[in-house]
Amino acid sequence: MMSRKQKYRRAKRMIYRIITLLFAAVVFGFSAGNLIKKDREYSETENRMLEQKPSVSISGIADGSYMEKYETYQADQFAGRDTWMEIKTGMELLLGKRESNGVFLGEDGVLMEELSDDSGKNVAENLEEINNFAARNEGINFYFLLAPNAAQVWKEKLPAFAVTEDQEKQFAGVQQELSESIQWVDALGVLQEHKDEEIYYHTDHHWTSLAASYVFEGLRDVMQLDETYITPLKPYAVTNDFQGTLSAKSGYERRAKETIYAYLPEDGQDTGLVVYDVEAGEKTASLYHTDKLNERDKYGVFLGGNSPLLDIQTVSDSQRKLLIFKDSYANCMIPFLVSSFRQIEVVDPRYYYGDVQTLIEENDITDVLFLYNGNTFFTDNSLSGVLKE
Amino acid sequence: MVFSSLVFLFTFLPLVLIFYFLVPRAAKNPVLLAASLIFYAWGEPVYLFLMLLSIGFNYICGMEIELKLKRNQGAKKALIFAVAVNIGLLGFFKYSGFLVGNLNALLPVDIPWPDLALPVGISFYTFQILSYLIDVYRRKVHAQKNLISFGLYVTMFPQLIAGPIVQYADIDRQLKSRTVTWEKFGSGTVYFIRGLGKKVLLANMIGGLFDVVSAMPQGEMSALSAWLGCLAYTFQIYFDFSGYSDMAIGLGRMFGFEFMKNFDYPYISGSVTEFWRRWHISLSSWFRDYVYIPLGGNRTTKPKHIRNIMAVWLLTGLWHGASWNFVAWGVYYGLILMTEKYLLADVMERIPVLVRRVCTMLLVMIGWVLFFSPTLSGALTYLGNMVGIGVPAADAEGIYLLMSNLAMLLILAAGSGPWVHKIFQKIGGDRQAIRIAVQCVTYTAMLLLCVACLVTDTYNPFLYFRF
Repeated sequence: MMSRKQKYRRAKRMIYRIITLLFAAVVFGFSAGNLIKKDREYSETENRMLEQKPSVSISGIADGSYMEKYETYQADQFAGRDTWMEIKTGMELLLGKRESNGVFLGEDGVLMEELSDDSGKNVAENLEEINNFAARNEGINFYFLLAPNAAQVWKEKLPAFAVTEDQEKQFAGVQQELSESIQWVDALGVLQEHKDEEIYYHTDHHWTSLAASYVFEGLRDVMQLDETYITPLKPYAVTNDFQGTLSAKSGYERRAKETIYAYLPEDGQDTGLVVYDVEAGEKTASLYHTDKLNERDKYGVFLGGNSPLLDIQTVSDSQRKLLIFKDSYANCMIPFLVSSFRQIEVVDPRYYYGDVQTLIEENDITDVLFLYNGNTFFTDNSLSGVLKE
Repeated sequence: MVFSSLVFLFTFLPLVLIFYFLVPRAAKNPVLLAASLIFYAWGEPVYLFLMLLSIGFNYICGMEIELKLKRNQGAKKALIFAVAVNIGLLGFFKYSGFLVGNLNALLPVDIPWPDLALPVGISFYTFQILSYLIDVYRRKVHAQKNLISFGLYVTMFPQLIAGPIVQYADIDRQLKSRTVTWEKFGSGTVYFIRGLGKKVLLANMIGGLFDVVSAMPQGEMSALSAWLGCLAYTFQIYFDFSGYSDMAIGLGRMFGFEFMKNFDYPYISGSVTEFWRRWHISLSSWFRDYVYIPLGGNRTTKPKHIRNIMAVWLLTGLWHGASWNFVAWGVYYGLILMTEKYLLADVMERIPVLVRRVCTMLLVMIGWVLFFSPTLSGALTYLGNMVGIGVPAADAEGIYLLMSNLAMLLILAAGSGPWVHKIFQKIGGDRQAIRIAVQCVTYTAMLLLCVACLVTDTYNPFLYFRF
């Protein structure tokens, strides 16, 4: 009979042998796997080009850049990279981490971006130039619509104890800074009333068309749009396959798929209008770019993404002509506006380098709308430059 | 190169293992030396020449000292010359910037000085070389006649970058002959995986918390956040450093070497004296053998003993880095150790061990604030934040950080003592099959989780979406 101690020792030896074999299997297995595996050029999940095998050169080795590139290459091309990522995220979730890369993982798998701080000097500059711009253009109606972000309206869904900015306070500050000639459109209040509905995508930083439809009702009243021109719109699901940017950014909810609804007139046709992308020199007959539904960022279905300047000629009988300064939140709002304006000029100041005063005069603009979401507005550094005289 | 990298685990290590175990005995040391030089050059190609020069120079010095010992003339001079050159090199790369900076602050002239990149591991391998030279002079060991063996002693990749600092006498015979058995290799593997886990799964994870807190503007963090930051650093440095030592010991075993234990659960110490017997043991031993005892140690008059302690701790502080923080940190420990020895020796025996442990940890944590702060005044402000001077006790940010890191902090606290390891070894009791299964599965899972963390280190989704 073996004594207890002998048995213990024998087990210990056994453990060492097995672990050695397992260690060797992992180390040699993956080394070999990496050799055999074909390198990828592009990562769908991470949405970026992957590092390729660096070429050996004496200068590269001497200054160490070869080694650096090789290490990135090895990590980028590691066998089963996507699976490793899921393991890591899962481990962090187990440890109670609910934030990754500036994205919160909220209740029910809702991903929400951290709210931006509003203390930057760009904010003050933008507001000042907006006021100056309005003062220079007396006789035109000015509207300001600031959309709250998901982490504000859905703050109950934030992970426990998570801290982020308070957009209610930030927005009140903005409203106070704006001169009286600019009319405030309350989006925050409206969306708070509808917070139990699907007003934000769960994996993307945008609001949904449903949210835009509710806020449009408020906008209609402030703008005093003529009811007779307004065509009622109905939601149509255009894809069930949407996975937003927050999912890629954070690594959370990598299997989630969402539906995008587009709002169209009841017959399903947004006929008669012409959208002219000035920069690209392209004309289309629809506000929707269905080709974008085959791409990764399917939110691009609205207006085809962000262009510096869009000129939209509608079939509305209204005499009003609108100029919008906006970020991508406006892209799904514009469908609600086309029946109320004969013409809409859409400027994305981040990419626009033209002269807006000329734009106003040449097109006889009657109304100007600023439409931003809080996060973009508080980090924007291009609006004041576009508005400046 | 570092152990906790994909290139080490999945390119370097498998190649070295294949070559090492395929070649005949006579070629094993050359293979390890070549591997070590590549390992060193990977991150720091330029300094490879410095390393080769250092090896050649000290190889000759060792033989020279021994020769002069035999002739009974000039050995001391030869030793002093060799030591001076080594310390001179270390001083040039590590301390010249600090020295010039201080001179510029004092003098009206401005001496220009380039920012030198510190050769990796120079503090460690210089100390190993010094131990060799001094041991040869003390006739404790014979000079190494084999250049490859000597080169291997200086550069051996398992402990080249962060120790343990191996004393030549401990390894002299192993350089010549050593065996690798299944059990030895296996125990090395276990050590290595445990060390990798400590570094990648524990130290790196909690490092995130420290990064968040240390990025907060001073004076804007609550006392709670300051404590969390300090606690995070306390755990990070222990698991990082001891993990690295474990990996070194494990890798050493895979190639048949035995290195000394470098950490022995320092955070359960009942006094600061005990803490330094458990923390970075190879460095404390080095200072004991080559500075403290030669100066007379404690077998001398009280004033001289105090001088000896302060000398050792000033040097220990400076060894960790060239800035006043580290000097202050060393002096801080020198003062505490003297207080414990001369003022508190009787009192401490009567204090319950738990109270002593808590007090020791507090002193150690204060020490880490001196250690991690960029400047001395920064350290004082931080300590002020911790006791709530001019800042709130807690804020929403602090509570969020506490809650989202609580699980990790508890795991780290549990892992700082021997308890987890002891319990883990007992799982299964006398049913050996269960013990075997539990341990094998745990270590493999640990290894795989480490790989997951290393692969995702570059997880960096490119967000071209402009919104």
